[in-house]
Amino acid sequence: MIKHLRLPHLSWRFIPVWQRNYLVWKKLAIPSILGNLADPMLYMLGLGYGLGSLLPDVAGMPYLTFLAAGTVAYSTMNAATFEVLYSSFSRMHVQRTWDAIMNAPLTLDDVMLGELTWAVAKSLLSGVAILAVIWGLGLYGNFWMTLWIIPVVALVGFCFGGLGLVMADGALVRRVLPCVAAAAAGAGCVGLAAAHPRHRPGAPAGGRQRARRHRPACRRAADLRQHRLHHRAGADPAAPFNVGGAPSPRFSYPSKHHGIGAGRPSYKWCGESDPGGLLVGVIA
Amino acid sequence: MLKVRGLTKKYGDTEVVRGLDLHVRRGECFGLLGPNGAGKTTTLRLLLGLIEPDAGSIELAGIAVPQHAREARMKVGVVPQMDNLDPDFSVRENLLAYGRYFGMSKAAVAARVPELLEFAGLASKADAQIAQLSGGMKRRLTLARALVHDPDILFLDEPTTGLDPQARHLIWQGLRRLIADGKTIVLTTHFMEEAERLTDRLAILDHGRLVTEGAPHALIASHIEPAVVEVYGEGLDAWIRDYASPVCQRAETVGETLFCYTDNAERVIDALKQAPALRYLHRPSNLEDVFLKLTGRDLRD
Repeated sequence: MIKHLRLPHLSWRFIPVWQRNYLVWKKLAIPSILGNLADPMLYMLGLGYGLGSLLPDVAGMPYLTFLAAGTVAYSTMNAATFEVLYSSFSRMHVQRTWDAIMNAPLTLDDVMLGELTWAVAKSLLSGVAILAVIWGLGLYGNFWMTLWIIPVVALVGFCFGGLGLVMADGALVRRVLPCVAAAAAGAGCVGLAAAHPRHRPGAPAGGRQRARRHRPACRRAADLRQHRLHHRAGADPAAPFNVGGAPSPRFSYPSKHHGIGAGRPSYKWCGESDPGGLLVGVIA
Repeated sequence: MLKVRGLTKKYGDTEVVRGLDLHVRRGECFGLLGPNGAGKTTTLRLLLGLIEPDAGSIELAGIAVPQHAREARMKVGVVPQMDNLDPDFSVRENLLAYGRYFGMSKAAVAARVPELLEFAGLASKADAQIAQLSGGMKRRLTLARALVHDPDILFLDEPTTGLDPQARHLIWQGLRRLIADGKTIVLTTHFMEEAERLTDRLAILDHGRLVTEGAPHALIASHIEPAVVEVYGEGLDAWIRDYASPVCQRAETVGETLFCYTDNAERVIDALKQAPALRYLHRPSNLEDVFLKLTGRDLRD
């Protein structure tokens, strides 16, 4: 066992492996990107606006916001694991593409690094597609803070790509590369979440509210929700359906210094409120 | 071009390759023969540095393997036993993608593609998908792919297994062209005819050990009587009892057939006139007879 624990033999030759996967993907790029966009759109519109309008706040934030962050997490994990568990696996065992590549001056570590970085690319693609939907629908508090998600998505790709590779072929667990990639990237996710700019208690309130006014889709959803809740509670629209009995914080977001999931007062995982934290929270 | 000394590989307690010594000269076509499980494919994988030997040394194109396997593989083209063309790419794209694995620029590979397609006889199929190719075409494309980086030495693992005679002859033709161009070829095969036609020298392996080595005709001359009479039909047992031993130097019964190895086939045929019901085939002995004599007739699965 110890004899297998050697440092990976890496070289820049992993790039042609990445490129090979990219060229194959490119042939079906447009349908693939449309799929990447359509999937989160369905979730946001169907579940977020549809179901969300019937639901109370989730931990102090609208269900739609909660769902948007969760979709980024689920979808990027899924993109990386699907890529290595299905596509890389078939290249390894069914098509024997790896065998062919390793007759050229590449090692197994080069091939795995190529596959891992490709899984990261797929994660990024899927994460950025969802961000595009989030941007398009205006489901964020602060644009710049949503960019924080991109490095998190890359790390999620490495983490779940590494785990997936080990699952795809148990023999690869003896290889240092996927295990270290998974562990280091997992730690990186947590680190990024912890490093995210925190909720500042003294910040001026209403940033989110201001932003909303300029985004009709958001406003409509909020109005619709208000309306439904009013009818279900059968009472005062100012004190709608409320889980804990406390006043709803829906329209009192304290800060604009947050990305998705901003300003949730009761969410204590990893500091106060940050998309990375929510992402890792959902993953955990 | 290739020097192997004392090569040994174990899987668990099984020694798959046991103390193998090989020497292949530049420009030579060298055959590795042996029954299934003799260690041919393992030997090729060892030579490429894909697995590490438990003992012994390998020098491939002047480079030590597995220590510098990457550099060595730059000089080697491989045709594997099972086709592993990339089904996600067309014929042309397969060659382009494979060249990149050797660090060739897109322009450098693209410049070689027409020549390789012509070599493989696939010029009209450049944009076909892999699934549309016949077995023979796939094999030719695999051979062309192995040549993309213009290697000095080629490893072919059973290059014609599963092909029809037409396709096999096309592959042989291609290999002869490569030999004429001065490439060194190491070939494993089960087809004795293929080994006899193509190789300058060959080694027979069994149970991971080198059984014999030499030029095909020299092996036939040194290991076996020059002629074989295969006898079969009614009354074979009686004929064997009464006549066989004085005229056959060596006789083997396999199922219903007697293989009678002899220096003087005339005497065997004379003796066969005593039993007109028997039928026979008289032929010169060949490499297959040597192979079967040295490795036995038992199944090896």
